[in-house]
Amino acid sequence: MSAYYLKESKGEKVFYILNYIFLFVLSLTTLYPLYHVIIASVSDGNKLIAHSGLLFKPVGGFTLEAYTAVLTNPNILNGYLNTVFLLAVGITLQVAMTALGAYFFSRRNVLFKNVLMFLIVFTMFFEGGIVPFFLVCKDLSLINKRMSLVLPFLVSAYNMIIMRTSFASIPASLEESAKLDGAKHIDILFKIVLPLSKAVIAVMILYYGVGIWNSWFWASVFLRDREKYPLQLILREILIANDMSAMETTVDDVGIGESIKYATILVATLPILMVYPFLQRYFVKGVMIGAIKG
Amino acid sequence: MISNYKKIVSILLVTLLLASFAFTACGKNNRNDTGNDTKQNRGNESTLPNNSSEETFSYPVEGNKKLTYWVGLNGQVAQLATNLADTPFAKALEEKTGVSVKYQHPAADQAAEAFSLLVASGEYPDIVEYDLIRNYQGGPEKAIMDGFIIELNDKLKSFAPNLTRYYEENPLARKMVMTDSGKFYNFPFIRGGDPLMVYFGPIVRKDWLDDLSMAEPETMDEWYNMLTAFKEEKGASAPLSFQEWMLGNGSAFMGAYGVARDFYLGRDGKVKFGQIEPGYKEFLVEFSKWYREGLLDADLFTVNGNQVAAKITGGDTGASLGYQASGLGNLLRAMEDDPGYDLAGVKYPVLNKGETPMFSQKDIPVRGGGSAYITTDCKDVEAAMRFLDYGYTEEGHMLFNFGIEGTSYDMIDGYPTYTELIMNNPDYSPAIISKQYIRASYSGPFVQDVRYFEQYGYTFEQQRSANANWGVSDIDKYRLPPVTPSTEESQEVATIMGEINTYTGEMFAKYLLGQESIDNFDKYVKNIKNMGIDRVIEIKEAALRRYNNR
Amino acid sequence: MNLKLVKKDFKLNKALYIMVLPVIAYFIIFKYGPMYGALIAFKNFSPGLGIMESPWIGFDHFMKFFENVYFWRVLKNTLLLSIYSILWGFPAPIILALLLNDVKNKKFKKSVQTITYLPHFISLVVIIGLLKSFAETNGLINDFLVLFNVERKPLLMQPEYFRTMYIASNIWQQIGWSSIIYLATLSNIDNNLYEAAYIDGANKWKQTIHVTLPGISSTIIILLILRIGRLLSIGYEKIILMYNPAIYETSDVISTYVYRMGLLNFNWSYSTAVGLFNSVLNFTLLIIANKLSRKYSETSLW
Repeated sequence: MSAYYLKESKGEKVFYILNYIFLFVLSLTTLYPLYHVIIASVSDGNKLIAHSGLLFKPVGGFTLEAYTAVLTNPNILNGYLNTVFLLAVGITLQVAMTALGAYFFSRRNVLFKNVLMFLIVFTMFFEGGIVPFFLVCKDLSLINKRMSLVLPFLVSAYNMIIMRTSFASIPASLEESAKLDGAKHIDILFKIVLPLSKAVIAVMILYYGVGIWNSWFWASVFLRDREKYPLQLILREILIANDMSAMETTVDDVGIGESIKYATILVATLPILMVYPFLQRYFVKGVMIGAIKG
Repeated sequence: MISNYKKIVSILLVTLLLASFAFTACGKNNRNDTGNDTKQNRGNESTLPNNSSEETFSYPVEGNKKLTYWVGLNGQVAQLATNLADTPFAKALEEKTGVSVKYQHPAADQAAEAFSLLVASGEYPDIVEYDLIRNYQGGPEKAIMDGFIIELNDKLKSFAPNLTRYYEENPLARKMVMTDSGKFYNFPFIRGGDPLMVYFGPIVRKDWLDDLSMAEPETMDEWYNMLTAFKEEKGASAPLSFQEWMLGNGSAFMGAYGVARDFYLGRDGKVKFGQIEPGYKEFLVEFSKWYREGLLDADLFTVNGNQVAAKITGGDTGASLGYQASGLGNLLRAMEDDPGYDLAGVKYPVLNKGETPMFSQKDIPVRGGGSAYITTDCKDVEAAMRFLDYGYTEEGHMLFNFGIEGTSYDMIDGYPTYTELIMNNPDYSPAIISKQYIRASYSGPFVQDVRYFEQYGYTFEQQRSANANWGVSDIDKYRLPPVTPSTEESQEVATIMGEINTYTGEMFAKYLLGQESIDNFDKYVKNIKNMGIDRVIEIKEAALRRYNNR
Repeated sequence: MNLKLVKKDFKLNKALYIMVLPVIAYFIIFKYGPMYGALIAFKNFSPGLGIMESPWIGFDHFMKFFENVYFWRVLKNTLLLSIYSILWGFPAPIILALLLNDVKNKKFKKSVQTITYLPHFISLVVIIGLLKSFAETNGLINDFLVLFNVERKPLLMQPEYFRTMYIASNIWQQIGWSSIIYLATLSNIDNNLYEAAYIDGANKWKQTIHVTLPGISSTIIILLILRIGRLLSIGYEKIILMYNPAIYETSDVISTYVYRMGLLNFNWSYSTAVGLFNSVLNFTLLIIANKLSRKYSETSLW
């Protein structure tokens, strides 16, 4: 597992101590910003903007004003629902399609396999560009459809390769016997391969999920109904947009604008942090199976 | 190896060919009837002037017409509605006109990108509301030639009698909206009176001035002294703060040196580009000194409206630039509980005492923003025009400016007075709630009414004096009218200015932050000349001559 | 090609080909479709005319780009940002993995992992939103720098800090997540190898050099090739969330330039040409990297 030793030299001891300290500091730099967000979100916005220095307790007293503003904004709730919808539909379709592709490419004795693989890998490095891509989607009438955030992004070549590698590592003998029993490819995929590939499926869900969760740009050019906006687009308006932002100037908001920003961040990040522990056990398993070329 | 590659390449080619075939095939289907000329014709055909119905026409439009309408959703509307159609305003409009409209909105702050792709897509909604003059490369003439929007000349009389009447009564507005070759193409946003033209300017902390026994600043030196005092005596961490783009609204500060941020008419009557004039260098010297000494907000290029507002109310900032209602008005309202707190709108700064500012934010009756256009994809041009013309009828005028009688306004002695719902809403500022009922507090295809601003713009006494102060300037002499260069010229201007604007924006930041020495200003001017500014000025001169001949 | 063989293959694998058809269709439509559309790079695209009917103009757009005043700047910025990203961002997770690998306390190791994986799941928009407020003059990063007597500055307005901010925030977000793969590989290294090295008198450092690193080298190389293939494909999504005119000098890269030209200035054809140029460069780089790697390490993508 790790370096083999019987006793540590002095140098090694120093190393271990430094190692612990370093990793501890690293964890702190990861955690502090998140802590900062929590504290800032319950601070008095007016005082917050003038505040400098590390935050350990709320500036100007604890207040939930910012959360009231965030949670009553119709855009945020709506954005949430849209994102959840996209995640559910998107991940299902994406994983299914990727599995089909991965299954094909994990077979032996298929004549056009390598050629097709090359053509797919080629697309990882060569692309048509924003405008042509948009025009294709327009020709398919995807403009202003929620599916415009799913269909054009159905299969990631990279993910498919990971999944293929995982499928290929399943012992051929299992399938052979099924084949003898007259099973078709589709049966083998669903009854033998997929059940044996839970870890890599979890990883796919994770990868595609993160992709959908993060995306804002295409949503901003495809969608023309605010009712369809995913959460990130709303977040962008609140956090990044430099002009009249979506969260501006209600009578009392002039003061809490700054803390609203942090409250929004938290509201948008919390759910992820909540499911995170449940997903974590799959990370290592799945990444390990897939990412290394077999 | 080699044969392998050959195989791969040939297969690649075949696939590409197949793919391209598939695409041309389906592309053709789509395109069959979308050639330039056909598009134009289609627009004309369906709209053969139908004069007989004109006499008898009255709203609502009959036949359950449905239209699509692309328009940026104002951020304050978006606070309470995810689509314009959800607002009481749009519902009333639909009821009155009988036309049901599906609104399409680009994401805030992404409107320019979305608009560009909308145009590129070749498939358009019936109506588009956007600033074509500023944002369509090549300008309105090009938009017509490209087959994006339709020309309205032959239909205006029949289907937009109310707008036509307005033009007849207001020849200046008519002159401003048409192109050099005499084309009409839009349903413009028109500011219907002088008091509506001025709405933006410098704001200072009046109570601080009083404390420090200082008068309202007029010259740049007085501004400098005031800001220094704010910093030293009042502990303001960012004495002067605003969003950087606001400098373009009336060219405050640089105006003192006789230059505007954009094109303008110089004292000699020639077209000038402010950011290469000697006066701009003097402005940079002074302004970068302010920045260096901490009088300007250090985060000038990244602050957003919220942050500026919080700094002004929180005592970090004592001077800013802002709007009369959504800026000054909202800030005063937010601080109503604090009797000591006071703001004042002051005159645009000048160099020497007693001078009149050359520039200020003072609009002209018609600009590109808020104007609506009918696209070549519109199947029912008559319905679209009738719908848009409604804003210029008497009834429509009331709806767009005051909303729904009995809800958002009451007629009191013949004066449409906003109700408490708008002006004194317990939950939302007038800026937000008004936009759910009217369009006067932002823009759109109608004539803005002075009576709207008399109420909305003047809830506080300070706003009245601010408006008077902001209006003091000679801008009418120096403003470049809304000229429209010819199609090719516009494209040339757009290409050149795209580069120049990137460059000037970047260099402004560098000079201000001291990353570039102002001694190199000559080189900077030379670079801009190399990019072709003289050609642009030449084009604008020619366009100006044509404009004057309209 | 042998027709008979093809026929036989289709007959044998019919079901398989049918299964993969939707996937192939996806790639043809959404990947090769836009490549076909990229023809507009050689045309003057006019929406009214469509892709086919727009007039050909050959390589004019490419020439225009090469002659553009910003050509060298965006190319340089793209390269530098990318090279620095690789220089700092690539080894970081490897180092973290090596360090974690040497932690004996299971609980501690687990906690560090959990914590450092976490930022990967925070969305980019939020990360940049955070970065923006932390980079303000009285923001968190300045608070920290002041301790080292660095003057407070609006960090996102300083061209010289842009790359640091971009790369550091990337590392902050991805270091833990990217280290997973190395950790996994590390755990696969045969313990006997360490034992043997120890018996040969190799100390900790030597074991790392001679056993650990060779054990994960093929993973490193593959990932490096992939990374180099993307040397010039820095996306615009993060940068356009971050930048403002004050830092164009260092932050304007090819993709953001393409974005501005195509989406803000209506130069659809021109921007597509620039994008195409970028793609060609990318692909060339990938092939070179792969060749080199095959020559020197026997590991390669294909």
